[in-house]
Amino acid sequence: MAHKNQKRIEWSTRRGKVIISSFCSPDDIVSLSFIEAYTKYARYRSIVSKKETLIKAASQPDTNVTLAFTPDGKIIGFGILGYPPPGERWQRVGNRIMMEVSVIEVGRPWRSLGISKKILRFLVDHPLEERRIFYMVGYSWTWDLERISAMDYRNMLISMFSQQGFETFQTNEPNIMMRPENLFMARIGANISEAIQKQFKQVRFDLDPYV
Amino acid sequence: MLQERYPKEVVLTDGKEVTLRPLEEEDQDDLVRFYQELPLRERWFFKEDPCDPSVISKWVDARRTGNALGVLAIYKGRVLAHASLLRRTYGGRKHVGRLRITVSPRFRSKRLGTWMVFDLIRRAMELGLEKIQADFIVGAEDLAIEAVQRLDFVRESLIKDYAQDEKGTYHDCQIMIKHLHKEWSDF
Repeated sequence: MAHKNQKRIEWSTRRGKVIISSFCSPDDIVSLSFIEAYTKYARYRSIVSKKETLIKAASQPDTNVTLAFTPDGKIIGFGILGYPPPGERWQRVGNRIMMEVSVIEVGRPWRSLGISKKILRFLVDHPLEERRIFYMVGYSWTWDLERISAMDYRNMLISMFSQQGFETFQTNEPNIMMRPENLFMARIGANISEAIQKQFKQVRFDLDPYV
Repeated sequence: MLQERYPKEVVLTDGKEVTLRPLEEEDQDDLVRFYQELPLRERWFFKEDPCDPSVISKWVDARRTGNALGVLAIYKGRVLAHASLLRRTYGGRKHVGRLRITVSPRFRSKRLGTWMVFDLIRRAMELGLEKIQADFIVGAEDLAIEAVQRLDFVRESLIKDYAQDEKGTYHDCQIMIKHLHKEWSDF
């Protein structure tokens, strides 16, 4: 049975028909397979190249796994919005407050068609969107930079996430500070209290009482 | 297209919340005041007198011509640090940016300088620069040398007895360079 918040669109691109579906269940994912592009390129490997990763994510509470796939069941793109793993810095903001867009990716042959924008829009179209802080971290060493510079990639991410209400925030998180092009963006839900916002700021700069 | 969004809020290690934003024309008087409040030894090694309003006016103009990007740190309405990325728009050195930063003594060792340098490194990368050069006077700016080393600036060369302090004592000039790599290696 489809998730009660699932949304689905089907549209025609110049490469063919694409279906995008949010809140995909483990069963939905089992019935699909990855296109070859996710395993083909030696220089660049996708973060998620196994269906098991998507299935595991889809079984977590509140997590939104959004997939883009062809009518014959080939996954051409995906995104995951979920809670960070235990021990992550961002959990210190509060229990189930922060949710991370941990991955958003489209296979090379299907890029420049606007698929990632649609995946992101479906990811953040979440029943808890105003009661959570959604965030993303961009590490340049995970980016496919064969055809684009790191700063152009960064700017593309800023532009795409800004359209969904995300803003760039400063943080001293060591992995983000490791490279100037790395990026941290967040979207603070309208119902997030002042106290949580303050805590979020403290955690960004490692100044919260837990440290 | 420059995607950096200002103002940016940073929290210092003592919890003070500081705003970073670009230098604007209306900041001239505040910036002159900032430099006037610095002790003489802090501004002695500048190439021009930053307490002279016409010098500051020139720096602000450089922003308009694209020869300089200036960033201010503001706390409670007051300027407490000024950093600039200077660049040439013509010739064989246009791929090199030069960095200059001055932080109020009260706000040092609180990571403010790090935030400002980090911000300008990003801007330099967006502009397609390949290197950033920063010159420091040994014995007077040792803390800054240490700080930029942590941001991957390397000691490129040393000019012996390059500058004289206000008492006439000679100091070496340490030239630091940061290479801005456009991509990761295939190692």
